[in-house]
Amino acid sequence: MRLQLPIVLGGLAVLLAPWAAIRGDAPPPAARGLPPLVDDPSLPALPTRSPRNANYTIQARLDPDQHTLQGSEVLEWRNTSGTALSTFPFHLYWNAFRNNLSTSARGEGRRAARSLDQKEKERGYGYTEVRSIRLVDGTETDLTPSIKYVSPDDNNPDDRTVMQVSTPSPVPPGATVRFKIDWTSHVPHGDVGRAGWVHDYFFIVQWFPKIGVWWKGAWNAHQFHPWTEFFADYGVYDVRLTLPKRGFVVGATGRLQEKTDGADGAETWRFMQEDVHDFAWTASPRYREKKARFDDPGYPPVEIRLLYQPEHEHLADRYLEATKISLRSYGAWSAPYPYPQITVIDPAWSSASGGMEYPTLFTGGASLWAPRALQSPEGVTIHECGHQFWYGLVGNNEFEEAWLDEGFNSYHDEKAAALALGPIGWGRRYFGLATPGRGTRGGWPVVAPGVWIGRGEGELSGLRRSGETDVMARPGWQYRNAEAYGLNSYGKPALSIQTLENLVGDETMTRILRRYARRFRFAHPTSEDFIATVNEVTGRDYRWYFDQTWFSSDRCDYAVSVKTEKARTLEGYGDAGPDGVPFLTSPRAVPPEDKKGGVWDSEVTVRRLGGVRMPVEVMVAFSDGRTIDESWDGQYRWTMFKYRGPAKLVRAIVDPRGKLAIDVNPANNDWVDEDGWSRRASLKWSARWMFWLQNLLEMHMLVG
Amino acid sequence: MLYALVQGWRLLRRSFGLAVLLLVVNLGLALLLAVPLAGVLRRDLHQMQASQNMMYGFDYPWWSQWSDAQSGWTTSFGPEIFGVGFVFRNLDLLLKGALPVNLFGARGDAGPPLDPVILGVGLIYLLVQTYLAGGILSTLRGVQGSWTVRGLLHGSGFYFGRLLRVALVALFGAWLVFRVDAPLA
Ligand SMILES: [Zn+2]
Repeated sequence: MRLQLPIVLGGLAVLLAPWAAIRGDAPPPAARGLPPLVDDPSLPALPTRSPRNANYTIQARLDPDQHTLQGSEVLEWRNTSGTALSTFPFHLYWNAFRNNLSTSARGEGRRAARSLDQKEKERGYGYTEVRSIRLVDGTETDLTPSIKYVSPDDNNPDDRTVMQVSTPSPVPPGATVRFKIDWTSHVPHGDVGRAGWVHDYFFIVQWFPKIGVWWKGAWNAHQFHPWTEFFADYGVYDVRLTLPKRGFVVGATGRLQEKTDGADGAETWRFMQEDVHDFAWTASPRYREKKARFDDPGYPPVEIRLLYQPEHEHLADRYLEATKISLRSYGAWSAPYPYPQITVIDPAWSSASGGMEYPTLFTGGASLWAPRALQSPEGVTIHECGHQFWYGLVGNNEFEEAWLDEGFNSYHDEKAAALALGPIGWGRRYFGLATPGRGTRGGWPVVAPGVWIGRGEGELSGLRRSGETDVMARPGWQYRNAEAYGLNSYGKPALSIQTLENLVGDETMTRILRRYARRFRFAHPTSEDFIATVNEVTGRDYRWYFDQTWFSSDRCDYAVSVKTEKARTLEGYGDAGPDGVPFLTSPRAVPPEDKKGGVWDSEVTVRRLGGVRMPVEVMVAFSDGRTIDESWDGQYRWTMFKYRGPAKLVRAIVDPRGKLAIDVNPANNDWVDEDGWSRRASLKWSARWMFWLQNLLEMHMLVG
Repeated sequence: MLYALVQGWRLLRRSFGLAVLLLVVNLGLALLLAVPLAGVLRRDLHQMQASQNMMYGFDYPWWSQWSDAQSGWTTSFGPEIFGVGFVFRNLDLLLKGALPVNLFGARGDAGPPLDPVILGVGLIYLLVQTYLAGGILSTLRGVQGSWTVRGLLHGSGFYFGRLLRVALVALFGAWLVFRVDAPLA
């Protein structure tokens, strides 16, 4: 008996479930159209090659059983600093995982170096130990004794992620020198950092000693922080990777040049790529391979090589299609992807390598059950592939101005996805596996019917929550916490560029980004370069806009409220009579038929609730169908518009075209004269909620 | 033969009446919170364009902002209970040990996965259900034909202590299960 009722109600619930679906389940139609790829002579010419001042020839041998890597590299480096240099910093990123004292390990956030597996703590540790570093120019000069570790960001004496060496005599400007470096690495377990191994899956990134960038008159070589990304000079990479012959499939930056068998049961894969600033690779015997070709008219053709997990066979085409969406749309909005190939990696289950970009290679991420409405793996694929255009091709300093890559990219990925796939659905996964430190993974996805998230709408919650924590434009490691880094590198810059697009117009925005992408290809541009490009293309000074958004922690929130009532008729003392005494006039009862007509007084108050000041448009509508457009400079805390006329005011909207994508509360922008809608909506949704609560109550019977 | 059929039919009718009674309790408790929720939603949608959007569909930006501003039991109103989601959410809560009163669930910094008010209503329902089960048991065992509220309450009181013990034993069993292995908790 005790179980019967829940079963009956459960059955009822299943029967009623279709009823519970929401009207208008289909997503709103997506916008159409990318700007045509036209040869615009007014645009700067694209450079045919990068400065190539940091060229690496690397040989590495992986021992997959011991999780060790023996590496040897020759770095050919040209002094483009304009000054003689005798100290040289090198990144040794894996030393973030060396022990619990590194700057990354002392930090917070899900990427802070640590071991999640308490039982096998040592598996999380890894390191890069330079055995020797020599200057090789005919004669060899051993620089190994000069090695010291520097911590320019936080003076942490225990951090070894930046190594510095000194040369006996300075390297003159314009000269090219060659450093020969031999090193040994221990590969960390890959459940926290992106680099690492999981079972027989190896993801080897940020893995070789890498020279810093001479930038703005100084060496720029930041330590590895828990959430920051990277910065490096462009060059040519020629990399030979040796692994035991055990059916490993290898994916890497660049093109496969050759594959040779060694005498010792090993095989060597050689990859080459010109004009990139990093080299990443991965190996796993489980990879399956699928290829596709992107050859839309007007674009240089690109071979897409997808390496995916066998259990994701059904998602392979979705990965490939999303990669094409990215190449197509970002190419149209900036400048086409110039490399002849791109490698897409579907990472192994339980590896933390998903969702990351490397030159000509990126990782996606997918779940076994992937309803199309949730746009996964499409969303992450479009985003990571999109990095090729900003991180990859213009190469901004991600340590110091992460938004120039992640922000631009988030702005573009949402625009591309909205255009090609429509709005994203809302879903939640249930019955996933709880994992230490990384929350619940996997699980059965349930998509909420009728709930669609439009472009940029998903970012507003973060802006409301932590928008005031930090000024957006700040070095990555100086944000107060990981959440503030995330908001100020992704969501806020994306929304602010979307807002800028709305202010200058879509077509002008494309001209801005095309110009910026072309002029600064391979050039490490800064925010100032971008602002200058905006001003140049628009012919106006938009500094005020960036002051309000990028260089501010203020929130943007405009709101509207309305008072509309019958114009008053005299009540009280009016004019004086012949005796000089004013008449007392009593209120007259208005006959019911008169209520519709008459004169109405309406007041529209627009308020600026946040610190951000933007010019805003205001639209008011009256019951006779008349509309009036107003504008306000948005500077003072509020303004008021007054109307007297024959019709009642029925609607008032501040920012009627929804230009201010950064307005944290768009709902208070739109006032309507209603009483029935909110009543009916609240009844509908509270009934739906009650249905859920009833079911929840029944669930109690299963345990009690 | 005919007698047995008639007896069976009578038993069914009697338990049907009781099922309706339980449904009334269930509905009553749910209404206890659904009515104030309707009031909150109406107040927060009043004279907003979002009210029209919410009448015909679902306004994500409005809900997102509204939800961020909520604390307490009203936070449970969101897309996860739409469509078949409500069953998944509840089963998930059950498997995570959140029912009843988050007795078996994880107690992290995040607090219980459901607001204490809703967990409290769940507890009341559990107690009422246990109480009424006694009455049901006695009416089913009784030889007389129809059941009365008085008889039910009498039976409920008579059996409550025992059934409470049974319920506690069941809860203890559930606790053991969650202690041994709670894969989703
Ligand atoms: Zn990114």
